[in-house]
Amino acid sequence: MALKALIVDDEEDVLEVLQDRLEAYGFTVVAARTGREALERLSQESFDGVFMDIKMPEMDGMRTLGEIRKSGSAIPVIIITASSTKEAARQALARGANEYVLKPFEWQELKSKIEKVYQINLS
Amino acid sequence: MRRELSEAVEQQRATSEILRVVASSPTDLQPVLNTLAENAARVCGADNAAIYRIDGDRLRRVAQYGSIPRGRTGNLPLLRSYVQARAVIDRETIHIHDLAEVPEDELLARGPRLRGTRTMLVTPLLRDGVVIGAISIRRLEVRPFTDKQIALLKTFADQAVIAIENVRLFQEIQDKNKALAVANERLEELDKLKSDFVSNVSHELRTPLTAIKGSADNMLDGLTGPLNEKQTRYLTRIKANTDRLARLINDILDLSRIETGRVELHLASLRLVPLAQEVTDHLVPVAAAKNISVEVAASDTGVTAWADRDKVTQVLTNLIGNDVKFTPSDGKVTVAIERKGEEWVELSVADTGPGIPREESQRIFDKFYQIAEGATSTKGTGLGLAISKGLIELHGGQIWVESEVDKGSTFFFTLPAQP
Repeated sequence: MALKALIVDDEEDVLEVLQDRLEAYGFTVVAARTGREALERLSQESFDGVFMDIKMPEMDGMRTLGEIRKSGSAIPVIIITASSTKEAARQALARGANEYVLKPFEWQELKSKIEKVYQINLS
Repeated sequence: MRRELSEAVEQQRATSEILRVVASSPTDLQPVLNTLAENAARVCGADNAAIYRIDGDRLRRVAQYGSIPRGRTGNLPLLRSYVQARAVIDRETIHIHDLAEVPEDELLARGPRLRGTRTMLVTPLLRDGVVIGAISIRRLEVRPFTDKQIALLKTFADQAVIAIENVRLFQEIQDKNKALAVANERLEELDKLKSDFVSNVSHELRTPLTAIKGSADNMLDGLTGPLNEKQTRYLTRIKANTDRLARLINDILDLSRIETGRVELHLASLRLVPLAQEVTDHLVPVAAAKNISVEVAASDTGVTAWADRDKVTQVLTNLIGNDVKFTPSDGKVTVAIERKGEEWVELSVADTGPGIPREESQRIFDKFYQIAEGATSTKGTGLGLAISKGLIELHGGQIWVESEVDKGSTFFFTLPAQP
Protein backbone atom coordinates (compact mmCIF):
# COMPACT_ATOMS: atom_id res chain seq x y z
CA MET A 1 0.00 0.00 0.00
CA ALA A 2 1.25 3.45 -0.87
CA LEU A 3 2.51 5.71 1.89
CA LYS A 4 0.49 8.89 2.29
CA ALA A 5 2.42 12.13 2.72
CA LEU A 6 1.33 15.63 3.70
CA ILE A 7 3.55 18.28 2.16
CA VAL A 8 3.48 21.76 3.69
CA ASP A 9 5.01 24.78 1.93
CA ASP A 10 3.75 28.28 1.15
CA GLU A 11 5.57 28.23 -2.20
CA GLU A 12 3.27 26.78 -4.86
CA ASP A 13 6.24 26.16 -7.21
CA VAL A 14 8.08 24.13 -4.62
CA LEU A 15 4.93 22.21 -3.67
CA GLU A 16 4.41 20.98 -7.20
CA VAL A 17 7.93 19.69 -7.83
CA LEU A 18 7.94 18.05 -4.42
CA GLN A 19 4.54 16.47 -5.01
CA ASP A 20 5.61 15.10 -8.43
CA ARG A 21 8.79 13.71 -6.96
CA LEU A 22 7.14 12.05 -3.97
CA GLU A 23 4.49 10.57 -6.23
CA ALA A 24 7.29 9.18 -8.40
CA TYR A 25 8.62 7.55 -5.23
CA GLY A 26 5.19 5.95 -4.81
CA PHE A 27 3.68 8.26 -2.20
CA THR A 28 0.12 9.48 -2.24
CA VAL A 29 0.46 13.21 -1.69
CA VAL A 30 -1.75 15.86 -0.11
CA ALA A 31 -0.55 19.49 -0.13
CA ALA A 32 -1.12 22.20 2.48
CA ARG A 33 -0.03 25.84 2.19
CA THR A 34 0.12 26.87 5.85
CA GLY A 35 0.80 25.26 9.18
CA ARG A 36 -2.80 25.77 10.21
CA GLU A 37 -4.07 24.01 7.10
CA ALA A 38 -1.64 21.17 7.78
CA LEU A 39 -2.97 20.71 11.33
CA GLU A 40 -6.54 20.66 9.99
CA ARG A 41 -5.65 18.00 7.45
CA LEU A 42 -3.86 15.93 10.05
CA SER A 43 -6.91 16.02 12.31
CA GLN A 44 -9.18 14.89 9.49
CA GLU A 45 -7.26 12.06 7.83
CA SER A 46 -4.37 9.81 8.67
CA PHE A 47 -0.94 10.27 7.06
CA ASP A 48 2.32 8.35 7.08
CA GLY A 49 4.56 11.40 7.04
CA VAL A 50 4.85 15.19 6.92
CA PHE A 51 7.31 17.08 4.66
CA MET A 52 7.32 20.65 5.92
CA ASP A 53 8.94 24.04 5.33
CA ILE A 54 9.84 26.21 8.34
CA LYS A 55 9.32 29.79 7.17
CA MET A 56 5.63 30.14 6.37
CA PRO A 57 3.09 32.88 7.01
CA GLU A 58 0.35 32.51 9.63
CA MET A 59 1.79 29.50 11.43
CA ASP A 60 5.40 28.51 10.78
CA GLY A 61 6.84 25.03 10.60
CA MET A 62 8.34 25.16 14.09
CA ARG A 63 5.01 25.91 15.75
CA THR A 64 3.22 23.40 13.57
CA LEU A 65 5.77 20.75 14.51
CA GLY A 66 5.26 21.66 18.17
CA GLU A 67 1.48 21.28 17.83
CA ILE A 68 1.86 17.92 16.09
CA ARG A 69 4.06 16.57 18.85
CA LYS A 70 1.90 18.13 21.56
CA SER A 71 -1.05 16.16 20.23
CA GLY A 72 0.90 13.00 20.99
CA SER A 73 1.44 12.08 17.35
CA ALA A 74 4.68 10.31 16.46
CA ILE A 75 4.19 10.74 12.72
CA PRO A 76 7.53 11.10 10.86
CA VAL A 77 8.27 14.75 10.10
CA ILE A 78 10.95 15.73 7.57
CA ILE A 79 11.82 19.41 7.51
CA ILE A 80 12.61 20.91 4.10
CA THR A 81 13.82 24.43 4.71
CA ALA A 82 15.64 27.20 2.89
CA SER A 83 16.83 28.40 6.22
CA SER A 84 20.25 29.80 5.61
CA THR A 85 21.64 28.56 8.87
CA LYS A 86 21.56 24.96 9.86
CA GLU A 87 20.56 26.18 13.30
CA ALA A 88 16.83 26.32 12.57
CA ALA A 89 16.93 22.82 11.13
CA ARG A 90 18.83 21.55 14.16
CA GLN A 91 16.29 23.22 16.43
CA ALA A 92 13.58 21.40 14.52
CA LEU A 93 15.31 18.09 15.28
CA ALA A 94 15.39 19.05 18.94
CA ARG A 95 11.66 19.71 18.78
CA GLY A 96 10.91 16.28 17.40
CA ALA A 97 11.51 16.40 13.65
CA ASN A 98 12.96 13.15 12.30
CA GLU A 99 15.17 14.55 9.54
CA TYR A 100 15.91 17.71 7.61
CA VAL A 101 17.17 18.76 4.19
CA LEU A 102 18.26 22.26 3.26
CA LYS A 103 16.96 23.92 0.10
CA PRO A 104 18.10 23.71 -2.59
CA PHE A 105 18.84 20.01 -2.34
CA GLU A 106 19.58 17.01 -4.50
CA TRP A 107 16.71 14.56 -4.73
CA GLN A 108 19.20 11.89 -3.80
CA GLU A 109 19.56 13.58 -0.43
CA LEU A 110 15.82 13.62 0.23
CA LYS A 111 15.54 10.07 -1.02
CA SER A 112 18.13 8.75 1.40
CA LYS A 113 16.45 10.60 4.29
CA ILE A 114 13.11 9.01 3.38
CA GLU A 115 14.71 5.58 3.14
CA LYS A 116 16.26 6.11 6.55
CA VAL A 117 13.04 7.28 8.20
CA TYR A 118 10.83 4.56 6.72
CA GLN A 119 13.49 1.84 6.61
CA ILE A 120 12.62 1.17 2.98
CA ASN A 121 14.33 1.14 -0.37
CA LEU A 122 12.92 3.46 -2.98
CA SER A 123 13.42 2.47 -6.59
CA MET B 1 67.75 80.72 60.15
CA ARG B 2 65.61 78.41 62.23
CA ARG B 3 62.45 80.12 61.02
CA GLU B 4 63.56 79.72 57.43
CA LEU B 5 64.26 76.08 58.00
CA SER B 6 60.86 75.44 59.52
CA GLU B 7 59.22 77.35 56.66
CA ALA B 8 61.06 75.19 54.17
CA VAL B 9 59.94 72.06 56.01
CA GLU B 10 56.37 73.37 56.06
CA GLN B 11 56.47 74.01 52.28
CA GLN B 12 57.90 70.61 51.65
CA ARG B 13 55.14 69.04 53.71
CA ALA B 14 52.46 71.03 51.85
CA THR B 15 53.82 70.04 48.45
CA SER B 16 54.00 66.37 49.32
CA GLU B 17 50.48 66.42 50.75
CA ILE B 18 49.15 68.03 47.58
CA LEU B 19 50.98 65.51 45.42
CA ARG B 20 49.56 62.68 47.50
CA VAL B 21 46.01 63.98 47.03
CA VAL B 22 46.58 64.53 43.31
CA ALA B 23 47.83 60.96 42.96
CA SER B 24 44.95 59.47 44.93
CA SER B 25 42.16 61.24 43.04
CA PRO B 26 42.90 61.44 39.34
CA THR B 27 39.26 62.05 38.44
CA ASP B 28 38.01 64.09 41.37
CA LEU B 29 39.28 67.63 41.48
CA GLN B 30 37.55 68.74 44.68
CA PRO B 31 39.84 67.08 47.26
CA VAL B 32 42.87 68.47 45.42
CA LEU B 33 41.51 72.03 45.43
CA ASN B 34 40.47 71.73 49.11
CA THR B 35 43.97 70.60 50.04
CA LEU B 36 45.50 73.41 47.98
CA ALA B 37 43.34 76.04 49.69
CA GLU B 38 44.14 74.69 53.12
CA ASN B 39 47.89 74.57 52.49
CA ALA B 40 47.96 77.97 50.82
CA ALA B 41 46.35 79.51 53.91
CA ARG B 42 48.54 77.66 56.34
CA VAL B 43 51.90 77.97 54.62
CA CYS B 44 51.38 81.66 53.79
CA GLY B 45 50.10 82.42 57.28
CA ALA B 46 46.67 83.65 56.10
CA ASP B 47 43.33 83.46 57.88
CA ASN B 48 41.58 82.36 54.75
CA ALA B 49 42.13 81.04 51.25
CA ALA B 50 39.82 80.57 48.28
CA ILE B 51 40.15 79.22 44.73
CA TYR B 52 37.98 80.53 41.89
CA ARG B 53 37.36 79.31 38.38
CA ILE B 54 35.94 81.13 35.40
CA ASP B 55 32.44 79.93 34.67
CA GLY B 56 30.97 81.80 31.72
CA ASP B 57 30.90 85.51 32.62
CA ARG B 58 31.35 84.84 36.31
CA LEU B 59 34.00 83.72 38.72
CA ARG B 60 32.86 80.73 40.74
CA ARG B 61 34.41 79.85 44.09
CA VAL B 62 35.34 76.16 43.93
CA ALA B 63 37.27 75.68 47.19
CA GLN B 64 37.92 77.56 50.39
CA TYR B 65 39.61 77.22 53.74
CA GLY B 66 39.68 79.31 56.87
CA SER B 67 37.85 81.09 59.63
CA ILE B 68 36.35 84.05 57.77
CA PRO B 69 32.68 83.50 56.98
CA ARG B 70 31.92 83.59 53.27
CA GLY B 71 29.07 84.75 51.07
CA ARG B 72 26.54 82.10 50.20
CA THR B 73 26.89 81.72 46.48
CA GLY B 74 30.59 82.24 46.00
CA ASN B 75 29.83 83.76 42.60
CA LEU B 76 31.36 87.02 41.41
CA PRO B 77 30.74 88.87 38.16
CA LEU B 78 33.85 89.20 36.00
CA LEU B 79 34.12 92.95 36.56
CA ARG B 80 37.20 94.98 37.45
CA SER B 81 35.52 96.38 40.55
CA TYR B 82 35.88 92.96 42.21
CA VAL B 83 39.43 92.29 43.34
CA GLN B 84 39.50 88.58 42.38
CA ALA B 85 37.96 89.39 38.99
CA ARG B 86 40.48 92.19 38.45
CA ALA B 87 43.38 89.76 38.98
CA VAL B 88 41.78 87.48 36.39
CA ILE B 89 41.07 90.24 33.87
CA ASP B 90 44.53 91.83 34.25
CA ARG B 91 46.23 88.44 34.56
CA GLU B 92 48.31 89.92 37.35
CA THR B 93 48.83 89.34 41.03
CA ILE B 94 47.13 91.96 43.21
CA HIS B 95 48.44 92.62 46.64
CA ILE B 96 46.36 94.94 48.85
CA HIS B 97 48.19 95.88 52.00
CA ASP B 98 45.15 97.37 53.71
CA LEU B 99 41.72 97.16 52.16
CA ALA B 100 40.43 99.86 54.51
CA GLU B 101 42.67 102.37 52.77
CA VAL B 102 41.38 101.55 49.26
CA PRO B 103 38.31 103.67 48.41
CA GLU B 104 35.15 101.76 47.51
CA ASP B 105 34.74 103.58 44.22
CA GLU B 106 38.13 102.22 43.18
CA LEU B 107 37.59 98.66 44.40
CA LEU B 108 34.24 97.33 45.54
CA ALA B 109 35.37 94.20 47.44
CA ARG B 110 32.15 94.40 49.45
CA GLY B 111 32.33 90.86 50.81
CA PRO B 112 35.91 91.02 52.07
CA ARG B 113 35.29 94.46 53.57
CA LEU B 114 32.12 93.26 55.33
CA ARG B 115 33.96 90.34 56.84
CA GLY B 116 36.86 92.39 58.12
CA THR B 117 39.54 91.52 55.57
CA ARG B 118 42.48 93.92 55.74
CA THR B 119 45.35 92.39 53.79
CA MET B 120 44.60 90.47 50.64
CA LEU B 121 46.64 88.70 47.96
CA VAL B 122 45.11 87.41 44.71
CA THR B 123 46.99 85.64 41.94
CA PRO B 124 45.52 84.40 38.64
CA LEU B 125 45.53 80.74 37.55
CA LEU B 126 47.27 80.68 34.19
CA ARG B 127 47.45 77.76 31.82
CA ASP B 128 49.83 78.45 28.93
CA GLY B 129 49.07 82.15 29.32
CA VAL B 130 45.30 81.58 29.37
CA VAL B 131 43.61 82.58 32.59
CA ILE B 132 41.26 79.99 34.06
CA GLY B 133 40.67 81.33 37.59
CA ALA B 134 42.32 82.79 40.68
CA ILE B 135 43.52 81.93 44.15
CA SER B 136 43.23 84.44 47.00
CA ILE B 137 44.46 84.57 50.61
CA ARG B 138 43.43 87.11 53.27
CA ARG B 139 44.31 88.33 56.66
CA LEU B 140 42.05 90.00 59.21
CA GLU B 141 44.93 92.18 60.32
CA VAL B 142 47.09 94.60 58.37
CA ARG B 143 50.17 92.54 57.69
CA PRO B 144 51.37 92.52 54.06
CA PHE B 145 52.56 89.23 52.59
CA THR B 146 56.29 88.78 52.10
CA ASP B 147 57.84 88.32 48.67
CA LYS B 148 58.41 84.72 49.60
CA GLN B 149 54.74 84.25 50.47
CA ILE B 150 53.74 85.89 47.20
CA ALA B 151 56.05 83.49 45.32
CA LEU B 152 54.56 80.59 47.31
CA LEU B 153 51.03 81.59 46.38
CA LYS B 154 52.08 81.57 42.71
CA THR B 155 53.39 78.06 43.21
CA PHE B 156 50.05 77.01 44.67
CA ALA B 157 48.36 78.65 41.68
CA ASP B 158 50.54 76.60 39.33
CA GLN B 159 49.69 73.45 41.22
CA ALA B 160 45.99 74.23 41.01
CA VAL B 161 46.34 74.72 37.23
CA ILE B 162 48.15 71.40 36.87
CA ALA B 163 45.49 69.63 38.94
CA ILE B 164 42.66 71.18 36.95
CA GLU B 165 44.40 70.36 33.68
CA ASN B 166 45.06 66.77 34.76
CA VAL B 167 41.44 66.16 35.53
CA ARG B 168 40.37 67.89 32.32
CA LEU B 169 42.71 65.66 30.27
CA PHE B 170 41.58 62.60 32.17
CA GLN B 171 37.97 63.45 31.47
CA GLU B 172 38.77 64.17 27.85
CA ILE B 173 40.31 60.73 27.53
CA GLN B 174 37.31 59.20 29.23
CA ASP B 175 34.94 61.09 26.95
CA LYS B 176 36.90 59.97 23.93
CA ASN B 177 36.88 56.40 25.17
CA LYS B 178 33.15 56.64 25.63
CA ALA B 179 32.72 58.06 22.13
CA LEU B 180 34.89 55.25 20.79
CA ALA B 181 32.83 52.66 22.62
CA VAL B 182 29.65 54.14 21.17
CA ALA B 183 31.16 54.17 17.67
CA ASN B 184 32.28 50.60 18.15
CA GLU B 185 28.84 49.52 19.23
CA ARG B 186 27.37 51.19 16.18
CA LEU B 187 29.84 49.40 13.93
CA GLU B 188 28.94 46.10 15.53
CA GLU B 189 25.27 46.87 14.92
CA LEU B 190 26.01 47.66 11.28
CA ASP B 191 27.96 44.44 10.97
CA LYS B 192 25.04 42.53 12.35
CA LEU B 193 22.63 44.31 10.01
CA LYS B 194 24.85 43.43 7.08
CA SER B 195 25.10 39.84 8.19
CA ASP B 196 21.33 39.60 8.77
CA PHE B 197 20.76 41.13 5.37
CA VAL B 198 23.00 38.59 3.65
CA SER B 199 21.30 35.84 5.59
CA ASN B 200 17.82 37.03 4.56
CA VAL B 201 18.78 37.55 0.95
CA SER B 202 20.29 34.11 0.77
CA HIS B 203 17.08 32.64 2.18
CA GLU B 204 15.01 34.50 -0.37
CA LEU B 205 17.28 33.32 -3.19
CA ARG B 206 17.22 29.69 -2.17
CA THR B 207 13.47 29.31 -2.43
CA PRO B 208 13.18 30.15 -6.15
CA LEU B 209 16.36 28.16 -6.81
CA THR B 210 14.73 25.15 -5.21
CA ALA B 211 11.75 25.50 -7.54
CA ILE B 212 13.96 25.90 -10.63
CA LYS B 213 16.31 23.09 -9.72
CA GLY B 214 13.46 20.80 -8.64
CA SER B 215 11.63 21.41 -11.91
CA ALA B 216 14.72 20.76 -14.06
CA ASP B 217 15.57 17.65 -12.03
CA ASN B 218 12.05 16.27 -12.35
CA MET B 219 12.09 16.77 -16.10
CA LEU B 220 15.59 15.32 -16.50
CA ASP B 221 14.57 12.30 -14.44
CA GLY B 222 11.67 11.69 -16.81
CA LEU B 223 8.88 12.56 -14.39
CA THR B 224 7.19 14.71 -17.03
CA GLY B 225 7.69 12.44 -19.99
CA PRO B 226 10.42 11.78 -22.53
CA LEU B 227 12.83 14.56 -23.58
CA ASN B 228 14.68 15.08 -26.82
CA GLU B 229 18.42 15.64 -26.89
CA LYS B 230 18.28 19.43 -27.02
CA GLN B 231 15.75 19.62 -24.18
CA THR B 232 18.01 17.41 -22.11
CA ARG B 233 20.99 19.63 -22.86
CA TYR B 234 19.06 22.79 -21.96
CA LEU B 235 17.75 21.33 -18.74
CA THR B 236 21.19 20.05 -17.79
CA ARG B 237 22.46 23.57 -18.30
CA ILE B 238 19.67 24.98 -16.08
CA LYS B 239 20.53 22.47 -13.40
CA ALA B 240 24.27 23.14 -13.54
CA ASN B 241 23.74 26.87 -13.32
CA THR B 242 21.31 26.67 -10.41
CA ASP B 243 23.88 24.52 -8.63
CA ARG B 244 26.46 27.19 -9.32
CA LEU B 245 24.17 29.89 -7.96
CA ALA B 246 23.48 27.79 -4.88
CA ARG B 247 27.23 27.43 -4.28
CA LEU B 248 27.69 31.15 -4.71
CA ILE B 249 24.97 31.88 -2.16
CA ASN B 250 26.55 29.47 0.31
CA ASP B 251 29.97 31.02 -0.23
CA ILE B 252 28.70 34.58 0.19
CA LEU B 253 26.94 33.56 3.39
CA ASP B 254 30.08 31.83 4.68
CA LEU B 255 32.26 34.80 3.86
CA SER B 256 29.82 37.23 5.45
CA ARG B 257 29.83 35.13 8.63
CA ILE B 258 33.63 35.04 8.66
CA GLU B 259 33.90 38.78 8.08
CA THR B 260 31.43 39.63 10.82
CA GLY B 261 33.05 37.24 13.27
CA ARG B 262 30.02 34.99 13.47
CA VAL B 263 31.79 31.73 12.83
CA GLU B 264 32.12 29.56 15.88
CA LEU B 265 34.92 27.05 15.87
CA HIS B 266 34.23 23.70 17.47
CA LEU B 267 37.78 22.78 18.31
CA ALA B 268 38.74 19.19 18.99
CA SER B 269 41.64 16.92 18.29
CA LEU B 270 41.57 16.10 14.61
CA ARG B 271 43.59 13.36 12.89
CA LEU B 272 44.52 14.87 9.58
CA VAL B 273 45.56 11.90 7.44
CA PRO B 274 42.21 10.06 7.63
CA LEU B 275 40.42 13.39 7.11
CA ALA B 276 42.47 14.21 3.99
CA GLN B 277 41.83 10.66 2.74
CA GLU B 278 38.09 11.14 3.26
CA VAL B 279 38.09 14.43 1.34
CA THR B 280 40.14 13.01 -1.56
CA ASP B 281 37.86 9.95 -1.73
CA HIS B 282 34.93 12.28 -2.37
CA LEU B 283 36.80 14.01 -5.18
CA VAL B 284 38.07 10.83 -6.85
CA PRO B 285 35.13 10.60 -9.33
CA VAL B 286 35.83 14.12 -10.62
CA ALA B 287 39.58 13.51 -10.73
CA ALA B 288 39.20 10.11 -12.39
CA ALA B 289 37.17 11.70 -15.18
CA LYS B 290 40.28 13.74 -16.06
CA ASN B 291 42.64 10.88 -15.28
CA ILE B 292 44.20 12.84 -12.45
CA SER B 293 45.65 10.89 -9.56
CA VAL B 294 45.04 12.20 -6.05
CA GLU B 295 47.34 11.04 -3.27
CA VAL B 296 47.72 11.66 0.42
CA ALA B 297 51.34 11.51 1.54
CA ALA B 298 52.37 11.54 5.17
CA SER B 299 55.29 9.88 6.91
CA ASP B 300 53.40 9.97 10.19
CA THR B 301 49.73 8.97 9.90
CA GLY B 302 49.05 10.09 13.45
CA VAL B 303 49.51 13.84 12.88
CA THR B 304 46.81 15.53 14.93
CA ALA B 305 45.61 19.12 14.85
CA TRP B 306 43.49 21.06 17.33
CA ALA B 307 40.86 22.31 14.91
CA ASP B 308 37.26 22.38 13.73
CA ARG B 309 36.61 19.29 11.64
CA ASP B 310 33.91 20.82 9.39
CA LYS B 311 35.98 23.91 8.66
CA VAL B 312 39.17 22.01 7.85
CA THR B 313 37.12 19.70 5.63
CA GLN B 314 35.77 22.76 3.84
CA VAL B 315 39.27 24.18 3.29
CA LEU B 316 40.70 20.86 2.08
CA THR B 317 37.72 20.27 -0.21
CA ASN B 318 38.20 23.72 -1.65
CA LEU B 319 41.97 23.42 -2.18
CA ILE B 320 41.96 19.87 -3.55
CA GLY B 321 38.84 20.62 -5.60
CA ASN B 322 40.55 23.68 -7.10
CA ASP B 323 43.64 21.67 -7.96
CA VAL B 324 41.63 18.94 -9.62
CA LYS B 325 39.77 21.62 -11.54
CA PHE B 326 42.85 23.51 -12.73
CA THR B 327 45.17 20.58 -13.39
CA PRO B 328 45.10 19.31 -16.97
CA SER B 329 44.30 15.68 -17.74
CA ASP B 330 46.77 13.00 -16.66
CA GLY B 331 48.10 15.26 -13.90
CA LYS B 332 48.69 14.63 -10.26
CA VAL B 333 47.49 16.17 -7.00
CA THR B 334 49.36 15.39 -3.80
CA VAL B 335 48.21 16.21 -0.30
CA ALA B 336 51.05 16.21 2.23
CA ILE B 337 50.74 16.46 5.98
CA GLU B 338 53.53 16.97 8.46
CA ARG B 339 54.21 18.21 11.92
CA LYS B 340 56.06 21.54 12.18
CA GLY B 341 57.75 21.76 15.53
CA GLU B 342 55.82 21.57 18.78
CA GLU B 343 53.02 23.95 17.94
CA TRP B 344 52.00 23.57 14.32
CA VAL B 345 51.03 21.11 11.65
CA GLU B 346 51.41 21.95 7.99
CA LEU B 347 49.22 20.71 5.17
CA SER B 348 50.02 21.20 1.53
CA VAL B 349 48.16 20.50 -1.65
CA ALA B 350 50.40 20.31 -4.73
CA ASP B 351 49.30 20.03 -8.33
CA THR B 352 50.88 19.72 -11.76
CA GLY B 353 48.66 22.47 -13.12
CA PRO B 354 49.43 25.67 -15.01
CA GLY B 355 50.88 27.46 -11.97
CA ILE B 356 50.21 30.96 -10.72
CA PRO B 357 52.29 33.98 -11.75
CA ARG B 358 54.18 35.44 -8.79
CA GLU B 359 52.36 38.78 -8.91
CA GLU B 360 49.03 37.00 -8.50
CA SER B 361 49.98 34.68 -5.68
CA GLN B 362 48.85 37.14 -3.01
CA ARG B 363 45.74 38.37 -4.75
CA ILE B 364 44.24 34.96 -5.35
CA PHE B 365 43.10 35.00 -1.73
CA ASP B 366 41.04 38.13 -2.42
CA LYS B 367 37.28 37.96 -2.83
CA PHE B 368 36.10 37.32 -6.38
CA TYR B 369 39.66 37.23 -7.67
CA GLN B 370 40.19 34.79 -10.50
CA ILE B 371 43.37 34.21 -12.39
CA ALA B 372 43.01 35.71 -15.82
CA GLU B 373 44.46 32.85 -17.78
CA GLY B 374 43.06 29.36 -17.83
CA ALA B 375 40.28 30.27 -15.46
CA THR B 376 37.74 31.08 -18.13
CA SER B 377 36.53 27.54 -18.62
CA THR B 378 36.25 26.74 -14.93
CA LYS B 379 33.28 28.06 -13.07
CA GLY B 380 34.10 28.76 -9.46
CA THR B 381 32.54 31.37 -7.23
CA GLY B 382 35.80 33.23 -6.76
CA LEU B 383 35.24 33.06 -3.01
CA GLY B 384 36.70 29.67 -2.10
CA LEU B 385 40.21 30.88 -1.32
CA ALA B 386 38.96 33.96 0.56
CA ILE B 387 36.80 31.67 2.70
CA SER B 388 39.67 29.22 3.20
CA LYS B 389 41.95 32.05 4.27
CA GLY B 390 39.32 33.32 6.71
CA LEU B 391 38.80 29.88 8.22
CA ILE B 392 42.51 29.12 8.58
CA GLU B 393 43.19 32.52 10.13
CA LEU B 394 40.34 31.96 12.58
CA HIS B 395 42.31 28.93 13.76
CA GLY B 396 45.38 31.13 14.14
CA GLY B 397 47.05 29.47 11.16
CA GLN B 398 48.42 30.82 7.90
CA ILE B 399 47.71 30.03 4.28
CA TRP B 400 49.88 30.74 1.26
CA VAL B 401 50.82 29.49 -2.15
CA GLU B 402 54.14 28.69 -3.80
CA SER B 403 54.05 28.28 -7.51
CA GLU B 404 56.01 28.09 -10.71
CA VAL B 405 54.31 28.84 -13.99
CA ASP B 406 53.85 25.73 -16.16
CA LYS B 407 55.12 23.46 -13.38
CA GLY B 408 52.37 23.63 -10.79
CA SER B 409 51.28 25.21 -7.53
CA THR B 410 51.43 24.15 -3.93
CA PHE B 411 49.01 25.60 -1.42
CA PHE B 412 50.15 25.45 2.17
CA PHE B 413 48.30 26.03 5.38
CA THR B 414 49.10 25.61 9.03
CA LEU B 415 46.92 24.63 11.98
CA PRO B 416 47.68 24.45 15.68
CA ALA B 417 48.94 21.03 16.66
CA GLN B 418 47.07 19.18 19.36
CA PRO B 419 48.56 20.40 22.62
